[in-house]
Amino acid sequence: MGEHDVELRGVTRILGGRRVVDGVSLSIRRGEFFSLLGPSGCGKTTLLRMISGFDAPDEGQVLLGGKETLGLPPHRRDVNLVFQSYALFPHLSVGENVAFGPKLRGKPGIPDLVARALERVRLEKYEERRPATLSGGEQQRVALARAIVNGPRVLLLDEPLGALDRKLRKGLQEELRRLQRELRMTFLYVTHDQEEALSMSDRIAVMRSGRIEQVGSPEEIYERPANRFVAEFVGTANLFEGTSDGALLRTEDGWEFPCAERGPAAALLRPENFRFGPDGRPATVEEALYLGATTRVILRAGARRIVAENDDIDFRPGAEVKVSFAPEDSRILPR
Amino acid sequence: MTRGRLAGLLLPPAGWLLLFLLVPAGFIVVAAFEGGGLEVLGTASTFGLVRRSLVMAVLSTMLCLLLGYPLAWFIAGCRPRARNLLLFLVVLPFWTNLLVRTYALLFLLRPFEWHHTPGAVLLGITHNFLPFMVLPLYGSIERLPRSLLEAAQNLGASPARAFVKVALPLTAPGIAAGCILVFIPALGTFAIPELLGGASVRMIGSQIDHCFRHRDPAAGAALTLLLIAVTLGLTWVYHRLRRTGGIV
Repeated sequence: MGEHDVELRGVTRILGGRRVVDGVSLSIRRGEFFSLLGPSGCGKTTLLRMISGFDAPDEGQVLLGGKETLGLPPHRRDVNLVFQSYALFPHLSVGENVAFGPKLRGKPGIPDLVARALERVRLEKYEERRPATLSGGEQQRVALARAIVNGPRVLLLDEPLGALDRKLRKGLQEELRRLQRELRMTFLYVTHDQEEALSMSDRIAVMRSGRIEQVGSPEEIYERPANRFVAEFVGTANLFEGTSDGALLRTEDGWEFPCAERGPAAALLRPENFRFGPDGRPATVEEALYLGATTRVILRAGARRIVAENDDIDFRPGAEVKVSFAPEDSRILPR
Repeated sequence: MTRGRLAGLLLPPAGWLLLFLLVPAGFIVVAAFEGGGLEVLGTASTFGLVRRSLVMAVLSTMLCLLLGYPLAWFIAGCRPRARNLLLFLVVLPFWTNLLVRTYALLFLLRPFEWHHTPGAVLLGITHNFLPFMVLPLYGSIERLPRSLLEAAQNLGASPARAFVKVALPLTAPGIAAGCILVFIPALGTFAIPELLGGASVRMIGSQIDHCFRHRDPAAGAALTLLLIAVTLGLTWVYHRLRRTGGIV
C-alpha cells in the first residue's frame, strides 16, 4: 500500500439532499502531480475538504498513506493546503507565516527551514514584509512556501492560480511544476482550467456532477476521451453523430469514419486533425482567428460548423476550401 | 463647500457643546475648589470608593467580554437573516429605560435577599452594558475570514490554538473597543449601584449623586473631577497602546 499517498474508496458526500461527491474512487501515487479537473460545482473542492479533514464523507473511505482517516481532525493530518484565497495571516510577517507550521510541530532549526522554503519560491528578501504589501502572485508564493515547509505527504492546491492574471499564471505554472519535481512531493491540484491541467499533470481525473468521468494521462484524456463530456470539456471537439453498420459510421450529411461497433455513435475530430488541400469536402471559411503560432478557422460545411487549426495557410473569411482528415485520427465515442 | 458656509454649519453644534458641556464643567471646577471639596479626595473613604468602582468596572468588563465573545462569535456564524434577528435582540433591552430594567432586576433579586450586595451591582452593570461589548466584537469577528482558521488548523493548530493564535489577535480591535465602551460608563454608572447596591455598595457615580443631593456640592464636584481624570487617563493609555502596537 506504500506507494499510494491518497486513496479514495467510494467516497460520497451528500449536502442538502444532493450527492455533491458521488462514489469517487481514486488512487494517487507517491510523487505524482495529479489534477482534479472539472467545471465549478462538480465537487472537486468538497473532495479536497474531505482529504484535509474539514469535511467527512457520508459513505466510503479516505486513506492517507494507507491509513483510514475517519475521525482524524485536520491538524493531525499530514497534508497541507494552498487556498485559492491564499489565507495568509495578515497580523504576521511573511517569515512568521512560513514558520507557523514548523513552530506548532516543534521542529528544530526553524530559521533555516523558513529561509530555505522562501528560497524555493524565490522570495528570499521578503521575510520581514507583511502579506498586505505583496502582490497577488507573491502572496500565492508565500502560501506555497508556508505549505511546503512542513514537508507534507500530499500538497493540496485548490485553484491556486485562479485569482491571477494570465501571464502571471503561466509563469507560476512552470514554477509549480519545477517545485514539484525538485521536492518529489505528491501534488493534488484542483482546477477548472483544462489547459492548465493538461500542461502540468502526470495524471488527470475529469469530474462532473460529483462523479469521475475519466482518469488518465493528459495524452489519454485529450486523444482518447472516454465520453462526450470529457471530449468537449478538454480541448475543442468536433463531434459527428451518426449510425454505424459495424465497419463505417455515417452521418446524415455524408461524413464517414471507421467504427467497429454497431449502432448509434459519435466520431471525434480535434481541430488539428483537419487537413486542407485539393481533395476533400468543400467548406466555407466563416472566421479566421490568428493565434500566433497557428490560425483557428471556423468552417461551415452545409449545416455543420467545424473548428479547425492550421499553421501555414492564410485564410480569408468567405474563402472556399477543401478539408479532409486521416481516418486513424478520428475517435469513436459511445453515445 | 466654502469655508464660510462650513463655519456656518459648525457654529450651532460648537455653540451647543460650549454652552452645555464646558460651562457646567467650569462650574464644577469652581465648586470643587471653592468649598474645600478637594480635601475629600485625600480621605481613606474616597480611596476605598475609587478602588471599589475600579474593581466593579474591571470585573463587569471582563464578564461582558466572557459572555459577549461567544455570543458575537455565534451570531457572526449564522445565516444573514438569523444574524439580523439576533443583533436586533441584543439591542432590544435599550427599548426600555435603564431605570425600569434595573427596578425589574431589583424585584427579581429582593425575594432572595440578593439585592444590596456587590454581586447584584455586578449583575446589573454586566446586564446593562453587554450590548456595548457584543456589537463591536461582532463587527470584528464578522470580518475575520474563516479560511484563516482553517489554514491554521491545516498547518497543525488544534481549534483552540487556532483561536488563540489567529482569531484573538485579529479581533483585538473589537475586544479593545468593546472593553472601552463598557468600562468607561461602568466606572461612572450611578443608577445601578444606587438601586441594586444601596448604601452598602456605593460606587463613585452613586456617591457623586449622593453628595449633590445631600447638600455637599463641593465634595460631589471634586469626585466628578476625579472620575473625569481617571477616564481621560485610561483613554490616553489605550491610545498609547494602540499607537505603539500593543493593541492592533
